[in-house]
Amino acid sequence: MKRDRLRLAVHCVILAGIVLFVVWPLHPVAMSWGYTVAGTRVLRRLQRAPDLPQEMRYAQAMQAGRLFQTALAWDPLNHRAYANLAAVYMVWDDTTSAARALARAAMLSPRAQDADP
Amino acid sequence: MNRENTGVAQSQVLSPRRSLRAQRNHKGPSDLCGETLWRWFLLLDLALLLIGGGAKAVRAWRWQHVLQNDVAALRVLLQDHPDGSPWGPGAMPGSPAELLRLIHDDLRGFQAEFALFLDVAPHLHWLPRYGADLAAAPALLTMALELSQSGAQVAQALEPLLVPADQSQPTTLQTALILLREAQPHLTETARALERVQHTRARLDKQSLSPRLARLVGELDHYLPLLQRGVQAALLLPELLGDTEMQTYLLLVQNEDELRPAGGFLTGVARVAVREGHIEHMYFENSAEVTDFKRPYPAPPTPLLDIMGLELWVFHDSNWSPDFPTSARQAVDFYQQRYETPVDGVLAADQEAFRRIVEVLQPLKIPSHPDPITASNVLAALRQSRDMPREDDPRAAWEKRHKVLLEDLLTAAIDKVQQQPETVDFVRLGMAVIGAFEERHMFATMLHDDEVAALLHESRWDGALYAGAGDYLMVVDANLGYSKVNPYIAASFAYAVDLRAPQQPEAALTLRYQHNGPRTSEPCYHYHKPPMLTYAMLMQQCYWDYVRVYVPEGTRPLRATPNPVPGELLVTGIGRSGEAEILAPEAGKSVLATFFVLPPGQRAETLLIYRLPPDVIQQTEDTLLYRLYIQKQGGKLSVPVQISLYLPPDTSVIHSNVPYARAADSDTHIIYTLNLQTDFQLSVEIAP
Repeated sequence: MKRDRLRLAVHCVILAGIVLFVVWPLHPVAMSWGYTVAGTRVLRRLQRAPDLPQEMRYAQAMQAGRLFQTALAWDPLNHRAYANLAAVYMVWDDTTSAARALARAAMLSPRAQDADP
Repeated sequence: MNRENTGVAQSQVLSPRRSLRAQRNHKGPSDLCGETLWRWFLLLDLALLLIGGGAKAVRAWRWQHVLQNDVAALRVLLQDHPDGSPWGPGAMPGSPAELLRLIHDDLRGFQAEFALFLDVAPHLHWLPRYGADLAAAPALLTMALELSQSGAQVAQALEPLLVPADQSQPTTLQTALILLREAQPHLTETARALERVQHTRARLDKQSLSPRLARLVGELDHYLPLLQRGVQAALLLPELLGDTEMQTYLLLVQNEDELRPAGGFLTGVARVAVREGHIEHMYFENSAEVTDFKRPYPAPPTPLLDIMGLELWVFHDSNWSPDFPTSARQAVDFYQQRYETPVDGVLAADQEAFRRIVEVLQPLKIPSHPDPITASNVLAALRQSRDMPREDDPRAAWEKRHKVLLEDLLTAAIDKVQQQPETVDFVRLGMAVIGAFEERHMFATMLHDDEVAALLHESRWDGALYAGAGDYLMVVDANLGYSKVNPYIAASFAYAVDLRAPQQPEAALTLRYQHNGPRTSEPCYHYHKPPMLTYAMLMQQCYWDYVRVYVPEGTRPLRATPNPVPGELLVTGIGRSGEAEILAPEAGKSVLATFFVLPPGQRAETLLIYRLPPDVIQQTEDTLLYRLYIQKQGGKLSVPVQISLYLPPDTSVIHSNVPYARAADSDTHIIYTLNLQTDFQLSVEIAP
């Protein structure tokens, strides 16, 4: 019985270690994914309503942009956030920033990374 | 008696050891349930480990890709080819500052994600193959973070200089001065950061790293000194450009075709006054015009008297010391005999420095030359303008013609920088000037401002003789032949140091010279009376070379190749025995000297063997540290050098800051082969 308790304790420590050092460090990716999903919803809503007044469009683009920026703050390797950010820049007709964001998205996308520079 | 009871009874008669085994083998229903649970727990652990570890590995691989792209982008930035960006044309961040910030953010992201691993990494050097890389990772990351952060700050502060946003409002020297003044705090911080990077780098052993990483560290070794010099130059510039008060400089124009100790024969001098980044006036003269023979001049250094027959020491021979601050002070003394004008600093530039500057500013249209001056014709134009007078060309006319071209060239360069700054690539210009300083085609020293003088000394741009500990070598050639033969002279040397008896180290220096001028049956004429020869003919004369070798103080010469020179080869008519001389120590160095005459198409070799003082080697309990500093003489292009070290028996090199090759003849004989383009520093640690 005593040994079982010891095993249980050891196991809990191992599990906690794995969770703490291996799984928990991945939470920024999950957070980033969450923000990207939220931002994408706002962006889709915006894209599905072309007749929206300009101010509303800008406000929604701003909201989506903030969500993507937060996603990137959590995970700088989030290529989807960059790609969506490019779409947000296009709402403001900022083609230079859009091109840079797209280029960054392309560089970060796993497909591009298959081919090392 | 039921079965259970029987079991208990049996167990009671078993030995204690057997009893334990029996208990272990006996599994009740609750035990089985526990085992299954443990198994599931174990599976869960493994699954989490696999998922987490796998995800982490994928992340590491992606980060590696991102950082590789950053390095590629940085290379593109340094090589100034924005369209070669790994992100495709036009997708490059808008400015160097943006790119550096992006790189810094990436590095920070990587650091944050792998912080735990980076804490452990230094202890992983025992791992096969990539252990050294892993152990070096935190140091490399720290360096990269420092470089990107300080680089971004400076690039941001100097952005209008680096990337002029508005071409209609070009950067002038005045605006550059304001920007530099404002950027001083960032520049000071960057200088400190670069120093920290240098210290971190010094602790890394490049040879233990994988080839890929070693290549990156090699690139860092290449760019770090340049960055340090660039930052130092930017720190110095406001003061030098007369930010607080007008500064007056002497610009000594040296001609390395007639090599002299501090760079070349002094052919011209310009007095330049600068205030707030604006050149207020420039007064250029032929060096001969500076000397006023009505005033008293001292006797020249002995070789100028004994070999060239000169009785007075005048301005154009003032750069006799290879220690540029000494030569500069002498030049100022002679200059001020003629002009009672205050001089704040002295700058020297040779023809190669001019060529590099013209390469950035070209084409320069000047009235005294039919074609625009470019890097490809500037040397020819300068040489042509110095053609000695013909019979129908009185000396005065020659001097005027010669002076006019140099003056026109300087004026055109200054005008272009001041009047048409929009056409000038200041970054390239800065790099050209820094390169010229680094490769000893330019020197600068301040006479009164100790702070700036110290900064110039630290960067070795003042051309002072190196004063550090260890072995030292500087080969100083002086063309005493009234000729311009040096473009035809290919010089090299081999330096062998015998450390087999560390208390009595011995050195053998072999100097080799090849005169590549066309072989001729004409005898050597030391001095041609008018009508003078053309410049091209002066380049094909014999080479009268007075060589001084600067070595550590306390060096004892053992033997040397004699180079006797008959009296008929010298303008003085007095022959020389050719024995090597021991001169008075200079700037803390012993000086050995020899002299020879080399006709065109021939080669000469001279050997000096001497005993070095024992303190050139530092001995600890079980290691020897040998350090060598080879200083490059100003005005020379690259000089091939071979260094051989003979190590004590049964010892080997445990660390060398420069890669070496092992000689075929012995394990304890190692060889360094290099092209001396700038000063060279070697540090070798030897142990049994």
